[in-house]
Amino acid sequence: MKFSHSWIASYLPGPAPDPKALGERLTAIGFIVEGVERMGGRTVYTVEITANRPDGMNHRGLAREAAVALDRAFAEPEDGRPLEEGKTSADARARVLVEEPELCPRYSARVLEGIRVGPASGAVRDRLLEIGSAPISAPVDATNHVLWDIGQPLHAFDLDTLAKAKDGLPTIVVRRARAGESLVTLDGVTRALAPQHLVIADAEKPVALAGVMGGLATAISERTTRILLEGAHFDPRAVRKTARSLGMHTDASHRFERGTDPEATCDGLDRAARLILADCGGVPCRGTIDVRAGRPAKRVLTLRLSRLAAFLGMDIPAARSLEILAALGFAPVREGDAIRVTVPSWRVDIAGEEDLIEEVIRCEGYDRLPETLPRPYAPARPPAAALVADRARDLLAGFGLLECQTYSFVSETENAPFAPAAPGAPVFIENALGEPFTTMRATPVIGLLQSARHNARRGQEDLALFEVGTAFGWNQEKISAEEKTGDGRIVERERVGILLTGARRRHWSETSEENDFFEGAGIAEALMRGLGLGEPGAPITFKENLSFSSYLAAGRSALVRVSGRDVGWVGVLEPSLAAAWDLTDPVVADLDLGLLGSLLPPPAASVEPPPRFPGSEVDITVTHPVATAWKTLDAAARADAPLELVAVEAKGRYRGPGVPEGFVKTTLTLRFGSPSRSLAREDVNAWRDAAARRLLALPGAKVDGVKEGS
Amino acid sequence: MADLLASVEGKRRVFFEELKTAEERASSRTGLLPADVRALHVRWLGQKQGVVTELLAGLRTLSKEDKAAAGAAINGFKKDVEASLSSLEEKSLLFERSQKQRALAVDVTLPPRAPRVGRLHPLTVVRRRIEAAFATLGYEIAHGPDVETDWLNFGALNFPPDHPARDAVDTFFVKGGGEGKDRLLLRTHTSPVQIRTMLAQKPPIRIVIPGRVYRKDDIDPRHSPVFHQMEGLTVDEGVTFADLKGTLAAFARLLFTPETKIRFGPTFFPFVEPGVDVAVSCVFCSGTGSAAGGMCRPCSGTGWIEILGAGMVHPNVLRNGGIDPEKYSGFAFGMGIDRVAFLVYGVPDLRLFFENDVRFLDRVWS
Repeated sequence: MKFSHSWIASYLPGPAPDPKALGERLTAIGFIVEGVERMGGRTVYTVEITANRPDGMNHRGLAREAAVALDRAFAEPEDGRPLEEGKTSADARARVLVEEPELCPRYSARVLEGIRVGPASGAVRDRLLEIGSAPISAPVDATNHVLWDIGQPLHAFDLDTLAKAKDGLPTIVVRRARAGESLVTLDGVTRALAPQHLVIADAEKPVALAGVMGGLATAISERTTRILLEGAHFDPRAVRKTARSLGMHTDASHRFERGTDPEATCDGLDRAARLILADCGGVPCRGTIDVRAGRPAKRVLTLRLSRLAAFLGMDIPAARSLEILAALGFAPVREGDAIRVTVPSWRVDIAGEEDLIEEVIRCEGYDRLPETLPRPYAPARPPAAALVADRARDLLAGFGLLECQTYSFVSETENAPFAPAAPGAPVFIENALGEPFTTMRATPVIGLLQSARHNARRGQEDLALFEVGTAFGWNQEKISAEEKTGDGRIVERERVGILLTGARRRHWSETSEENDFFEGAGIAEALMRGLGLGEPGAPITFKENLSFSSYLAAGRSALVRVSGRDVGWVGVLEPSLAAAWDLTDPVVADLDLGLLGSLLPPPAASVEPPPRFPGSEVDITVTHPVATAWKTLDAAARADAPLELVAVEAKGRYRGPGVPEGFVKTTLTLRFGSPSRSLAREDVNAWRDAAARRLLALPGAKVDGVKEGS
Repeated sequence: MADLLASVEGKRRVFFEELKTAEERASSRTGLLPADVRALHVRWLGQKQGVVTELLAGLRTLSKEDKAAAGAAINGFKKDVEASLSSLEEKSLLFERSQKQRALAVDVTLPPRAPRVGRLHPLTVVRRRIEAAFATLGYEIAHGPDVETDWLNFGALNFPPDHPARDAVDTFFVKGGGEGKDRLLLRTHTSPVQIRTMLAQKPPIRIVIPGRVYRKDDIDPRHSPVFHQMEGLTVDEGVTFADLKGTLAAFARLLFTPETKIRFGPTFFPFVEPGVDVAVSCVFCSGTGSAAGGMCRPCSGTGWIEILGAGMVHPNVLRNGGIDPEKYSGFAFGMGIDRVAFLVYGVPDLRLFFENDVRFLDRVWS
């Protein structure tokens, strides 16, 4: 919002303040000067005025603040000759009916006659030009001048264009629009109206959108000789509703929406009338039409000086507080340990004691506020589950993955294949920025696919990425229970998404290997083990997924389970989906960090030292059908095994010459050990033979060095 | 006798010449192998026809007196030979070992086989820096959902319905998310967690709330519809506005440098009263506003950078959190994690944080 230095200075008696100092002081008390333009000795400020201070959105209001900030006097400038009214009463020329007193608590109007419309005087034009407002004609410029001068929006009607009531009197009706009515506003746009819109109508039709913009048909023109000037006070919500629903925003609506001074309507009319009569001649009718539902009660507040000191943590002398409040128009009165004030009609933002405290400290200066610390506080140790997300980030970065951040919303199309992975039905944004930002993601993997594609298009194809992010879905239980209130209607799960593409590693010493299921599953397992899951408290297993999935390749993907509970999934992306993303066999995973946190076993109460006796290991090589899963071999090796069996490991896999088609050769390492003794060779051999026999019993299995039926 | 002694002297000269040659070879690039030393050993000390052995054999022909004198001379010579060859042998063994290792030598200047180096995202690094600073000041961390109700995001925070204060925060709403105070939306700040915490916990409260927030902004270098905030809340008996200033000053010194200063300027947020904009002295120009070659760009020459909004918790907000504003007071503050990262790292475009180009991510963020 633009403000003229000289216009502000007109309210500060004495020499004009230094433009730089004025700007700095305004900023210091909360009217932030964002820009200063200097043109030929004139200074124009661009000031950011917060929504709670509509009283500062005009030169007089800002000057009142400037006076306090600069410790100077504030006074109305001499306003020239008094308004000389004609003999005809305004009531004899027009009538005002307010049908919606709640929405329009005050409607004041003046009638001017014998006008010859021409341009405004140089002084008014100069002021408006200075702040970037284009001059139009003397009457319109006068209303704009008043808006920028004291903050009262006005509107000028050509009285002779207003439809008359049956008795022949032009009539203004403040009412809600009727369905089917419309209005061509000053900007030439035809506005379809509805009862939610508050309008100014004449005896027949709407002639203005209350507090927003006037109508074209009743506007001031060169032929205008009689003017009805409107100065009203509207309910902020009524103006906001009208303006927003029509997508409009004007200088007037900006002020009405934030709250205008209900006491300023008549003063505004007189100021405008004086300017119009000076430039256009003519006579004002006697009296002002002033329709008012009633006067708002005086707002009296008390500021306790003890509260002021306790709240701020510093002492401000009572005399200083009185001085500040007086300068701001609060008419303060000292009453013992308190100050009683009457809130000025223009201060719509003041509601309680804390607001008065702010007035005092902001004018006293925040630089005077000391720096102290509140009394100590003993924070609680965060629960282990709360640390899982950051721990996961550290582990994955340690494994060589790069952490990503992607938007929480993706396109509907991108999200659709992953819908089964979401914690509920897809959540859409009602007023999204458009695609690809419409749908709350089912999994952070979608964002990682976007990132992978971005990188692949730039030739960066060996990728190892992760993101810790939220997955969204409607809470099915609440939907089926038709719960329409409260939170919890949306389920949010904190997940970690992982994506791998291209080679695991490239080095001159070896042939590079592509990322595959095992790399993804391995990172997932290492992550979970790093978090504290895994044997023996929370065993990790991978459950094969052989059926078609919309996002995972059948046969090269798995459900991840901890202690038998599904915690996520890992696998090669479904090939046609991968093709749609322009990626070759990316490996993706999604683990629910909330679940992982809840499955963390309690910390061990004691630690078993490692056995002092060396263990023993033996290998068994089995040739078996490809369809026989490792977990079957592992289970066979462990079945009925002695307590001394510590581990079963996969040592090697071989397919090729010497192994029949459809078969694979797997070497298992069995590790034995005892905390209490060295193992005898004969025992180990016996255990190995027993394991070999169990493996041999598997369908189609042969064990090296063991004859069938032995 | 004299002949014998002369012969010993002659052989000694020959030996030391041969030794010299061998030593020269040992220190040359060709090197001396243990086999070469063994050959010398055989030639001079061998049981059969060794030069020294034969000299000793010659003693038999001498008289008893001569035998003693000549024996001493020959044995002296023998000791010298033994000592010299032994030291030569050590050298040759060392040479042989180094030669064997050299056969296994690699080109150490080739790129090594390094494991991948992963990185945390800069926003994570900055978030942790901020969290660590507040942890020092005794703050706990609290979290809340991204999808909130209108009441928790606005109403409880003293944003009345249909109030222009809401214009500053363009909001995304959830389709089918209900109406009025139960309408679901994407939180525009992490402040709803203030209300959630107050409803769940009696004062004293001291939390920071990191989290993702959403505003309906078009995407450009300085705007993102998704960004991250860190808010804080302190509620206790006797918490003062000066405590807020002291806390944020301490935070600024922890996050930046011990010399960092803060400045309060009045502003308006519906959920605090008074509300302040908080600027820190520019870390790039130490608050001078000037840099080499002119104006300091990060602070536009002002010497100050605004990074926080703050204020004393509005009594209405305390009441909505079930806390008596006459008994307790509190302060709240908030900052954009992305904005702090933007400043700390001098990132030219916010979009880089969400694009995840590996050339951007794979660098040291500290």
